[in-house]
Amino acid sequence: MLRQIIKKDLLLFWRRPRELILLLLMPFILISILGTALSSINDGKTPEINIKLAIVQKDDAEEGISAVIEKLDKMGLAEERKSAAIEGMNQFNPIQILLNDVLNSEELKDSIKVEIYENEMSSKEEQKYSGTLEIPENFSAQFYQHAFLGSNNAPQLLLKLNESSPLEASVLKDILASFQEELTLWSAVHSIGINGEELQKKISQEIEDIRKIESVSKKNTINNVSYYAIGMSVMFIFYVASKVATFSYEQKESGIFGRLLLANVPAHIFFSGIFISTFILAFIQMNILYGLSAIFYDVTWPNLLNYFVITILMCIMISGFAVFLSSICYRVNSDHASQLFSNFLVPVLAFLGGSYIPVSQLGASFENISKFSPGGAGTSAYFKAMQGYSLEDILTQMITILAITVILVICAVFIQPKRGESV
Amino acid sequence: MLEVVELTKHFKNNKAVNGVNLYLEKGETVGLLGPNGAGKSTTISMISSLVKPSSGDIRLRNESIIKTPEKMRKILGVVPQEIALYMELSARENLELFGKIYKIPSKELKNRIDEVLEIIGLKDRQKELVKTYSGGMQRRLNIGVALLHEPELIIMDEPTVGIDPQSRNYILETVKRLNTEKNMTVLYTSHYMEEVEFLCDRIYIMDHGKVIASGEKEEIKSILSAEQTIAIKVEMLKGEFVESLKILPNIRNISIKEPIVSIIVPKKINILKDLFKVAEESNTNIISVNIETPSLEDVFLHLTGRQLRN
Repeated sequence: MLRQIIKKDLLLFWRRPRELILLLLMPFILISILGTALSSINDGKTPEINIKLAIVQKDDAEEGISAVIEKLDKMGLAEERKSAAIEGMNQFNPIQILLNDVLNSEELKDSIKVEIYENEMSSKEEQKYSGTLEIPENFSAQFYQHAFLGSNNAPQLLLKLNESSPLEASVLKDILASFQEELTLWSAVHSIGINGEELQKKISQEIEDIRKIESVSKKNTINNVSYYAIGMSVMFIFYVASKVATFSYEQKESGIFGRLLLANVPAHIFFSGIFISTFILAFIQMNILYGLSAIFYDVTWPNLLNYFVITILMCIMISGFAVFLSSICYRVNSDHASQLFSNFLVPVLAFLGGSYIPVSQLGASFENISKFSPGGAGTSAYFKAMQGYSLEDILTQMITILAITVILVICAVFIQPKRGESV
Repeated sequence: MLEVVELTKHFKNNKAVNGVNLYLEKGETVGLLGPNGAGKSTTISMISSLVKPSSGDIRLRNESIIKTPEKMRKILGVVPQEIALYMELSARENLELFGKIYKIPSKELKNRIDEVLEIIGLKDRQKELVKTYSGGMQRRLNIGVALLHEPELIIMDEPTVGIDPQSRNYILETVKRLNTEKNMTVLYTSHYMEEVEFLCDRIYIMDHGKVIASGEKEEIKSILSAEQTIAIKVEMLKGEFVESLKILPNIRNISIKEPIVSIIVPKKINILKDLFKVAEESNTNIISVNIETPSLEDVFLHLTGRQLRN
């Protein structure tokens, strides 16, 4: 019975070319127009970051460690405290961490090329680099003395930035400033006797976080056509819900719904049919739109599985909207609700979801509202998937989409007219 | 077969149906007459189990179906007033869809569809989309869908509204055939008195949610057995003439279907002299005068003070 109802719904849609044009051709035309015409003023591409960093290494870590051990001996500290300090120094070498764990990490090594100098560089030479980092003489010795003996101030790395390449300079500044902050914190905290092991773990975590922050720049960029492929698809998927709701109300108005009830089709089967056929229609619509965008504009997804998961969730939410709108139409005996949704709410949801312009341009509070709106959760999930984020990173959006669906379906069940309420 | 007892339906403060009683015997055709808003459609919706009554009972073979509508639906075919068909599907596709929903086995369904298409005369155009059909063809298919599962009882709610006389005759003949050949029980509502006269054995007349008269055709007509209908055909109808008729004594009802004015008067009264006098005074030329036995339409007018189609 359900199969017949779904089959019929799909056939009816297929035989209404006007609706097909609205749901398929129109968004694709808009993707083409907005994607290409606005590309010059709103190109989502971010420039490649190629940082060249020169490190002038004036420090000798081993020498520094020996100097500190010598001082420890002279201070006549207890053997236990002395061994702990030596172990700490052997385990935590700030310059090695900077060179190996930060600058040579998987995320940064393609963006940052490091060259090491032992001697002072000329100004002319410095111009070849995005920045020059000087590790001053006795850096390690001062660092360990600060950390283990509590003497002097924490040493500073000296960074000179090349302002002729501001983007690279800015990224470099952020990376090294974060690193310097962590070092200063580590040595300061250690100097007042906080557990070194725990702190080291924390520092490793912080370094990991720095990498994560900077790895954003390594995510795929979204160009203008891709942006509008997502924006318009998410906008037009809502029209599927409104069209299906209008169709379903036509069945009540023409007496077909009554005829189906008389054929012992329970109302919940009828509405389940609406849910499933909306899902199928929306799924086909999404795949045609993204398929065409892929063929004509090279809009591709780094991970197809993620794309399909989000699309399925979106289609489920749209099915919820269709059932909800149909229930309202049946309840109030009019398709005004679906028309209102189509003419007024869809554009609002699309705007709120960032289908027209990126919500980040409208302020943080707008961005927060957008995240939890039906369109916003959808577009944001698609954007992240296109950038190459994992499903785990999109979990908030996915939960939002599912929560909206559940709310819509529950409301629909309560709204649906019960037998005997209307003729 | 079917008995309706004190059936009542309220919609907020409006009593759409108010204590209706009626019954249908197996194999008979019963007419339900009434003007717009009389409560016919609500009564039919309750009988067909689409609308739950506010009070009263509907009994099928002595068993109430209020709580178990499935029993009624199994034996019932309903032809709604609206064209309850999918316009983007063909006649055959519509029939196939409803056949499958009625769970008619595939093999049997094919034969059943062919038979129904034959009955409703759409075999040649079965593959065309319904939206390309004329109003009459759509009405015929509307009936066809209700016949598909071979119901014992068929309820037809004004099935001939808005169609050409040829299609109307076809539908009436079809209903008659179904009743006589297949012994189908029919509850037929209409605005057209002549349809009810042609088809029905018994008649219920409804107005303002109540049954105001019921019985066999002749019984109902006998309500006006002491009356006669005088149909006056005039050259040009003048308001003055009608107004003068209204103030004549003994005139029960006046109805106008230009250029004919029908009046109902007691048989024993000779009104012709007064009639010609009024015509002369209002400068109205009378073309013909027919004295007739009152029709069901006249009875209806007499009972409700309204014409069926107004």
